[in-house]
Amino acid sequence: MTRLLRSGVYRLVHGRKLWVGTALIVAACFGVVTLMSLMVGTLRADGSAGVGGLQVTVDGGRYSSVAPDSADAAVLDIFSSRTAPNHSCLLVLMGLFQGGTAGMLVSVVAVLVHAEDFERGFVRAELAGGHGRVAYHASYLALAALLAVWYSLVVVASTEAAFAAAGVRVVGAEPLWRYGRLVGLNTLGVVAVTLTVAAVHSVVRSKVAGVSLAICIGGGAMGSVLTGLAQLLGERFGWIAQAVSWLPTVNLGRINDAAPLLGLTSSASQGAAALPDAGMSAWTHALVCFIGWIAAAVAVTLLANRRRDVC
Amino acid sequence: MDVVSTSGVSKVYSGKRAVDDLRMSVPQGAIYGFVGRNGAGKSTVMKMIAGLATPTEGDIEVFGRPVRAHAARRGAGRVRPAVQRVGVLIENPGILPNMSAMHTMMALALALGVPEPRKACADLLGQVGLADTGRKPAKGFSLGMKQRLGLAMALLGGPDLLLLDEPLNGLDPEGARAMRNYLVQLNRTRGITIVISSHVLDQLERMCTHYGVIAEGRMVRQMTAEQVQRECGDSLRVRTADPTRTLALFEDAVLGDGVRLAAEPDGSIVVSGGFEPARVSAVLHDGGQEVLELSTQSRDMEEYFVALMEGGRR
Repeated sequence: MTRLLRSGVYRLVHGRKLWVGTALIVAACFGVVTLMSLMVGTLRADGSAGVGGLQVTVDGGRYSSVAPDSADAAVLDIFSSRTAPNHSCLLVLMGLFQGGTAGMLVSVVAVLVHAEDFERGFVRAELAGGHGRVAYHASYLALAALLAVWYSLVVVASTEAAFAAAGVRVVGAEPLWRYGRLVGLNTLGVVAVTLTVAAVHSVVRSKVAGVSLAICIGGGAMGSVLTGLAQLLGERFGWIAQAVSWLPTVNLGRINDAAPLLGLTSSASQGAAALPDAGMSAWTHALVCFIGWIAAAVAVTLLANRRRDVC
Repeated sequence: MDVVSTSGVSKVYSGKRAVDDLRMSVPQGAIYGFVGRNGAGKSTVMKMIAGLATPTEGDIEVFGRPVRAHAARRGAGRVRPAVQRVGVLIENPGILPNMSAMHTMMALALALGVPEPRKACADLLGQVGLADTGRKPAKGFSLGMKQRLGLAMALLGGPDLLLLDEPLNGLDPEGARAMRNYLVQLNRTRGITIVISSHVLDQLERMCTHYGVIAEGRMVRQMTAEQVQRECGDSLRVRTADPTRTLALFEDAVLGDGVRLAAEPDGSIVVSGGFEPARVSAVLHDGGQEVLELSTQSRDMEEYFVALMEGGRR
């Protein structure tokens, strides 16, 4: 399995997909910060601007005449003062983890890498070399997890770089363990999303289906639909809400909402925050959820492909 | 010793029997031409030998060891799978389109755990004439270059058995000849046993030492190149006033080794294989048959194999 993993990493490093995805994430981070900066710049120039149909007054008492979304308020605050309270704040405001961009991108790349193996017949050359099918699929999952870790680190680094380039500096850095917890859980969440998509793709073995799943599951669309459904059906179908609360994308939204340092609640995830929490903190809930999904994805992939023909 | 030995191997896909009770023996050091129509089951058999597909029934042994993973575990202790000594070029060559030949080879060498991978890859690329492709992505290669790269990939790790599915497809005559010569050289200098399927029968004729003919998933016949030469040589066309009686006389008589009789729609009987013309004539004379036509005709290898495949169809 180690040899197959080394081969997979070699192909990623010498291929295009890894770098195209990396460039997209970097561009997304800088793009988001640029958009935020432009929005705040407009407010400062005019003194007022429309946000969600409400008029925001910037000069004098800040936000005095409106009640803007708290994330928007934080953005206004950060860009007007050019300071951020901590690094976690930057990561949460960037929104690539809880917004689904990271999970979707990693899942799509993982699906394309796996699909290429089968489409081009590379898997035949690899497995005729004596590797077992379980080893091959385990190495694929490990490669997908490595991809998730790499892209998560790129998100973190690009977020810091993009805000720094916009002149925003962090004034009160939080303890490293607290930032590490946020980054670690976000990364684990992306790994869980990616392996879930990878597991389904290894069963259906269709590139189109795999990419569609990556967009639906990784992008958080499925989680949003199910969250809305759970809220719509209310207490009569409480089990739906229970089930939805264990979706990895929902938990990604929660941990970014729950970052206690921020005092923020993103409007995009308020629905998720209203879901049952099984008596755990958001962090513990997310940790249990992510590990559970990773274990399930590994089990499904290996069991489904243990004796299945390679081609 | 047989490098590949299958007994009663069957493979069922969605209720359809792609391979049925196949018995196949590939002697060590042979170049084994695997002949059959499209869909006859050649690729499926090769995949099963390579361990890429699991037989529904039956057993496959490569180098005397079972191929199936669970079969290997039946033995005492840890049994190394037989497929470790197998190189394959089945259907697609496994080329990664956006990577250079060297990077593609390196990726496979790392997966196979080839010692000194860079040197091994460079050597093999040189042997197949792709040493100068540099950083050019493989998607820009001609079909012949792709086939040669696929062959180089199959040779990584120094296999003792090569399974090549239509490696001559799409090659121009010069490319096909170069590939053929290279395969013969590999067989003679390194003793690599080669199983090769191809529709280009005249290319097979120039390199194969053994043949296996498959039709509708069943092995119709296996033979050596000498047997094929002998059997697809001249045949005798006999037309008499009473073809039914003549056919019965021929069937009762011993005309020679491996003699085959075919009744043609025009009433004539074609005698082929290792027959003795004098013996045929004597049987006709002794049986009192009125001979209307007695002529020799030659048949090429393609005609011979087509007849065998037709005979093997249910």
